[in-house]
Amino acid sequence: MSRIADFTAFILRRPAALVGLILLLLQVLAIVFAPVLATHSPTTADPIASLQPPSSEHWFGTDVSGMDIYSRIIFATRINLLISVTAVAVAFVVGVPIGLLVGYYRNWLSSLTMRVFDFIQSFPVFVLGMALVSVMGQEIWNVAIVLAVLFIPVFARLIRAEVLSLRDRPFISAARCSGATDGTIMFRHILPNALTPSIVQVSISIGMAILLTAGLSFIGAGVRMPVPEWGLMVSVGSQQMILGVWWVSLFPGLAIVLSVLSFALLADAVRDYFDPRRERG
Amino acid sequence: MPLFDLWRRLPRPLRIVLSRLPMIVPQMLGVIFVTFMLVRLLPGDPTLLMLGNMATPESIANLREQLGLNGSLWQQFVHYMGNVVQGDLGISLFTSNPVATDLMERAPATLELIFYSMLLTLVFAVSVAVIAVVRPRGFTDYASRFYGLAAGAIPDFWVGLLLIFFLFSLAGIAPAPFGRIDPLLEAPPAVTGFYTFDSLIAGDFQALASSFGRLLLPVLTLTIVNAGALMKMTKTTFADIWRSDFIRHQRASGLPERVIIRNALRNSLPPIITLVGFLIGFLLGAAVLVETIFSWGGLGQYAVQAVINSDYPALQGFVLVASAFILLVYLVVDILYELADPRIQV
Amino acid sequence: MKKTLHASKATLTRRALVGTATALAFIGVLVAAHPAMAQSATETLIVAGPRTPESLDQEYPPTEAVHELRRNVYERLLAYEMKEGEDGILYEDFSKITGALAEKWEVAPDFKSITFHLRPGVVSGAGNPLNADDIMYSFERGWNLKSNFHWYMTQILKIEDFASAFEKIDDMTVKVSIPNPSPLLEKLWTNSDLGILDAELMKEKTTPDDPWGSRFLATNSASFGPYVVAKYSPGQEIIYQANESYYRGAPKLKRIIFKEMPTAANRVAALQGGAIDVAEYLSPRELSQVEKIPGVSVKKVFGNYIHRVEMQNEMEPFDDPRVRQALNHLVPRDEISQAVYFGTARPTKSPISEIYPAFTDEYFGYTTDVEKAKQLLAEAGLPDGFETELGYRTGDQLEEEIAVILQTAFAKAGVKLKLSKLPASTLVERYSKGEIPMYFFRDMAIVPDAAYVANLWLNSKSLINYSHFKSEEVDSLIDSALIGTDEEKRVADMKRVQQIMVENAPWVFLFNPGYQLAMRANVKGYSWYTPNGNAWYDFYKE
Repeated sequence: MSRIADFTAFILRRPAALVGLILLLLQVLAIVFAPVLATHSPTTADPIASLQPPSSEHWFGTDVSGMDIYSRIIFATRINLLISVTAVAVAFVVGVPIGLLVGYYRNWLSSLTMRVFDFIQSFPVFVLGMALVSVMGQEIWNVAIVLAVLFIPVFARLIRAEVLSLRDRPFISAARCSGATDGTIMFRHILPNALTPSIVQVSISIGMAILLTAGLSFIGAGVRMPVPEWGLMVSVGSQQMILGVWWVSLFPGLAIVLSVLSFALLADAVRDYFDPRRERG
Repeated sequence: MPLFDLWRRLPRPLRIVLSRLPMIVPQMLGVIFVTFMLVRLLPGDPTLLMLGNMATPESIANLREQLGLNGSLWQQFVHYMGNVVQGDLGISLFTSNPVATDLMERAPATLELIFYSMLLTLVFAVSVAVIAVVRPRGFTDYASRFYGLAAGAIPDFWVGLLLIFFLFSLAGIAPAPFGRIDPLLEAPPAVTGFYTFDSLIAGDFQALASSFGRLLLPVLTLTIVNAGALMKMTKTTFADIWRSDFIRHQRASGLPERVIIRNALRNSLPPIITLVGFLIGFLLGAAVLVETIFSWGGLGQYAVQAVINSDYPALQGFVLVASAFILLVYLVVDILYELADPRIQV
Repeated sequence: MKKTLHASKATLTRRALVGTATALAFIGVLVAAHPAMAQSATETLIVAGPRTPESLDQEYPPTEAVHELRRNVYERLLAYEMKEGEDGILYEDFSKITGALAEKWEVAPDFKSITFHLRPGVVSGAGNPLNADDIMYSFERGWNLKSNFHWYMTQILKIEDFASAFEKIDDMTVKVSIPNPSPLLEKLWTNSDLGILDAELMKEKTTPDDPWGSRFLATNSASFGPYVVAKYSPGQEIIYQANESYYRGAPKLKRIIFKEMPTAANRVAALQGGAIDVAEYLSPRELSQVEKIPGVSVKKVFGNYIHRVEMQNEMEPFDDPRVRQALNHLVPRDEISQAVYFGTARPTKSPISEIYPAFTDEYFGYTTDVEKAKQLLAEAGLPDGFETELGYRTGDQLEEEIAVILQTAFAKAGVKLKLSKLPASTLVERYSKGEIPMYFFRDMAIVPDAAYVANLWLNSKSLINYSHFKSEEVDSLIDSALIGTDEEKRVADMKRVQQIMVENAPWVFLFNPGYQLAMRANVKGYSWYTPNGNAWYDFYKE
């Protein structure tokens, strides 16, 4: 309990982290209270009201189908966060142990695993995404699976890079000399020191996950219409941008920025909190 | 063991490169095989799409025969492998050109875009990171912290659209967002395929200005988004090194700042190199969206069309080339990484 | 030491500042140097469209881009006379056929053969004179490659054997004989899919492993049309150069540069900025915006496209005509016409397009009536509606907009639509296998004949009748109209076909989107032909 209190106090002292926390809370509110916070239904088309600029009736204006942009952004919080957090969580839980093993044991299995990762990561992301989604269908879970598969090598590689540097350090040899098993060395000695870049990467990855989902939707391989999803909303407005209709793409894009920013700020705070070199008290 | 001694006697860089080479051939074989299988598993029949109103069972069978789509999957693969080894990637179903030709025509567009984006990203990210660490709590430090957070949050296609809106539609200072060069100008004769280099070589300054002008928005788009990640990583790593003992020692010994920075940078290289490699691969993927927005005529647009049309040869060719390119980049990154970190044993 | 540090910091800052300043200056120079709005010469036309032709080969399956290529590069035996409409646009007069490569022709009274007398003095783009060998070569090649030519000859004219059908009478005369009489015997030769190749040029380009010169013709032109292809970069641009010895006179526009710009918004920007003269295939919204720009004009014609949502008639619940009729009553046609088409489209009231002979809209009775729809659904045993799937193409903005509108509209009667955006090839595969219950279909038939059109989409034996609409009466009426030569009976029969079809509603009838072209105001001479490809020969610049 005191740990949480300590962490909260830590955040409250840092303005950046505080902003992140507030943004996250706003998103949680949007997720829980969407039907209350929205002003219109997010999926009912009203073509006569299409492409109206922001007004008192439609706070962020309407898109090409006449759907209220503000309401769609609120409801989209659920979809976007669900997909991204699931994808990155799965990738982290699967990728970190793999990276640990692959960096510690440098045998043919590690090499093979790295080659498989090379392979996954060398596939052009959007083309692969388009192809996979066209095979599996435009369901939310399929998009999350595709993203998770893409992120596992990222975490594995980062952990591996750190493990490679750490495994030959004196303190590891010392641990080995005192009779520590491989498992103990990996998880108690190496892992805590190797985690920092990966934790930073979590925030980058959630951002990338939201961005990739949006990108996939942009080329038609993401969620189906008219599910509210920030990237899909930007793509719907992209054609009109050049004609001077700015509100359809601008607001959902801002939502993406603020959402990812919140995760980045909080993850930075977490990393700083666990940094053994920071001043405490 | 004489072989082992011989191995140990080779210079370290050579050992690093040689140990990597044997994996390349099986890797590429694997890429070709999986690409082929994946693409063939894609739903969508190109013949029906092509024939449209003219479809009859006979014409469909005829077209499938022509396109080499009959025969078992294995037979088709062996045939394809044989061709690939000779450099024949098949004929695109929708441009009627050999895929290899199609790809070579479009590759320079994408490469030029990635090249300038990576260059600008590197210069910008590393400079800002170094300045921010060397002068902590200065303007650059705070600005870079803000930018590092914000940049990772911005969707690149959104930025592209906004740049088009503000710089082209509203302000009118950027050239129109389509193509690599003004449609009324002739592209410079191809030497490297990069319009910028080629127009410089040809002395065509109008083409040079036009192609640079049109690179402005797409390169800015890609850089704004990607420099953030690199900058953050560089800052973290560089900061760790900067505060380390041996740098303190160098400062205490009176070495000039510039030399200290250079030394610190050199030691920060390994994770930077890794991330640069990853970013190049990411850029190749991101190029797909940016090329679409700016009608760039590169590999990205080609690939999207190939998926939409089930143009198997084109899609296979694209994935093959893109994968090979990225594999090459990762190989170079791995090698450079091991070269740069003397603690790694080979 | 402190002094050194301080100096270094200053150097750092100074260098940074200088670097930034240089960069800014460089950018400034670039921005200032971008070419000013260039004016195109009066003999060059710059066009932007969504796709370059996929192949230049006559036998490649026709697509929109390929239709336009053929209109400009390939010359046919016969053509329709052109007449000027009230809007100043040139149209084909379907009642008057005129000679193109054939100067004179005779149709036998039994409608079983046609003899072409070639026009003397016609010269190809490569400089070779036209003679019967070119015709016979084109026929032979087409027949052997089993593609477009073969399809028309076997499916429409029912030809079975080459030798008995195609005969060279003399150097300038060719005769085509068919086994059964066909009312389309004459009209068919106006089709640009049946262009004539320059045999002399083709023979130079054949090799033992490519006996029909397919590799050459995929990327080069070889015919007697007004233009030759000077440069072809698939996916990027195609440049047409005038054939100065074209038999109707050299084209006024000497050079047509066609650029592929897949994004419509970019075509709009290019037109606005003066970088192009003609922007093809803009959306209705973009057209309404572009019209307001001074110096830009938009031409609109009824055209022959029919855009509908087809239903898989063999799949429940679409096997019940009441369900299909109910859906037709749910479509908010006025809303779609205004919000999606900006008034450029007309509601579809028949499977035949409005400008073709034998068209009738007298049987169309679907008003937007939610109560009536609910009633029909209840009669069909679905008072609470049902769930189903609607497929549309990736990249088709219009279809997506309509799909979203239909989703809301259908929900009013309890019909829940799942929208599936699919790559074109996937969608085509699924509907050709009958696996998707509802899907968008936009098509046009280039032969202006109701029986031909009905045969394509409504004959149960037709491979492209993807909705599997089946009516024995319709089948027999179509079959007899394809061989009957009594025009009055054919028209009456086709009207009956339209009645049956509309009342049974195998499709959700939507709109005829028409064809529109946006161009700079100084571009004149716009004409419209049934394949919808622009004939640059008719155009000129003031």
